[in-house]
Amino acid sequence: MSSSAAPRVDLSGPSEPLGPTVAISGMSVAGTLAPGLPVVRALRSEPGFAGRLVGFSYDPLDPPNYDGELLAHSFLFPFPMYGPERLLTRLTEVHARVPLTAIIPTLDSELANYIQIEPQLRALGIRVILPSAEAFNLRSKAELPGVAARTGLRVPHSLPVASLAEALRVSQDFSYPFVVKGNLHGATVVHSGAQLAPAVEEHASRWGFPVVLQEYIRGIEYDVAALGDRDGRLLGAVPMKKLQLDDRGKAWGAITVDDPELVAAARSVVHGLRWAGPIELELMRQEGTGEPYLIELNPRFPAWIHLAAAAGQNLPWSFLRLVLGERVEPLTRYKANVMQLRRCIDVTCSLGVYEQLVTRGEVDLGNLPPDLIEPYWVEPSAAPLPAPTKQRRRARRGAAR
Amino acid sequence: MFRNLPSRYATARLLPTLMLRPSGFLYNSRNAESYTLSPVAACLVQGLQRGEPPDELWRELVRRFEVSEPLAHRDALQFLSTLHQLGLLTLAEAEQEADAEEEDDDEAATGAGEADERDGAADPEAARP
Repeated sequence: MSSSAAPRVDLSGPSEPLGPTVAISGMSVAGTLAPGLPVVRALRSEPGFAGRLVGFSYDPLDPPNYDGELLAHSFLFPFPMYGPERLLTRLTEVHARVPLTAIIPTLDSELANYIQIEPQLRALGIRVILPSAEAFNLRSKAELPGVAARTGLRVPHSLPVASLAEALRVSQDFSYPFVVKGNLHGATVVHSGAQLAPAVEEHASRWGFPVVLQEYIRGIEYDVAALGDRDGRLLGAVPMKKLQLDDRGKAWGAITVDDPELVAAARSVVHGLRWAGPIELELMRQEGTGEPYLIELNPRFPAWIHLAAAAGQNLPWSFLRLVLGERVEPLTRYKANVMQLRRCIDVTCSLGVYEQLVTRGEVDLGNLPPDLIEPYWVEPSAAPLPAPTKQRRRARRGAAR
Repeated sequence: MFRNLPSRYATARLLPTLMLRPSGFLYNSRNAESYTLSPVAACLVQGLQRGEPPDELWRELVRRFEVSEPLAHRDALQFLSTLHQLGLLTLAEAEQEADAEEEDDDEAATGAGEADERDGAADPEAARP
């Protein structure tokens, strides 16, 4: 890891105007796509954006760390489980190397830490807009009934449990199937008592308790990406329907829908919680009645956020302008029937970037050193393959017996 | 004078496919395993790459890092053993077989099998002296 004594990196050329340097977290791509890369792409697609983007990453193998066309600089960070002090220490080091104008955190698991260090970030001159601690706690899966009281939205019957024993006891209140939800991520539909304990234990082992038991609403899921300002005003909302799912139930393909009721639901949430910043609503339209039920709130941009930009509402761009103190007018229109189909792209990259990340905790993609480890051609070897030592040894010992 | 390192390391050779970078990044282009070395470990690997005799290795630690001879000796010995366990350091064949006999005896005595060996090899942190 770099130290605060390390020299500052000059990101601006002598005659180049210095735009904002914006750090974005959540660069993971493996397994489930984190929102960081889509937020980067949304900002990059905005002609009005003239700043530099810095990636905050938890894994040196996150592919955006290797793409100089997306990011100017990448920094490795300690995992959120290490708490706000470690985050602040690392942020202070990073800010000494590359002065940051603003940070856009994109992961649920890190937001509580950022909320705790918000005053220190302000003191460092780093701009953020974060939900209040109260609003952040209210949107947790365990508090969904409280959201209903504040927003007027229907929510499924939900009960948080603090142990497996409590889950088994409380499950008597539900009829099968119902849903077991992890504290931060993940959901499992359980169809029988035999499936309950494994599901509770799996989610608890990943994210700890409470685990939430939730009534299963049979129907079709719609999600809304939305943005609120500090006054509880909706600055934009784009609803979509999932077309394809990955094996974790995440959207792999989606299409925007013309559904004012879902936009109104977003307005109710932003207003009711006085939500500042990005938020995603997950709603189920109940089979038969078509009634929307709010099943989850995610306190960040979703990974499909580039679809909102393609549909005419570049919410990351609106949010960045808001963070930078600009006046942002609400976006009220979007294009329906815009499809997004996700694909994977293999990126070849230099081992030297990996070397820099694991040894220094950062890489300056705009100023890569000339002596990076480069590939070389492997010549076919003329030498015979060495005998397998272990097997030979075992054979010899066997013969001796 | 402190005692010498065991003779089995007298002809020890690092794998030729290992590449040590100034950053302490040690990379094996044969199998794409990588390790992050501390300055002490990097010093030892550099010595091995230069073909220095084993006893010169720990003396170099004493000179460069101002540590006591017993400590430098212990660290060098442990690190050479770790490199060998990771398959990054080859010993002369006779020494290797003697070493393997010792290893097998240890396995038989402790019940620790090849799984432990593999676990050690899979842990890059194990390369830190």
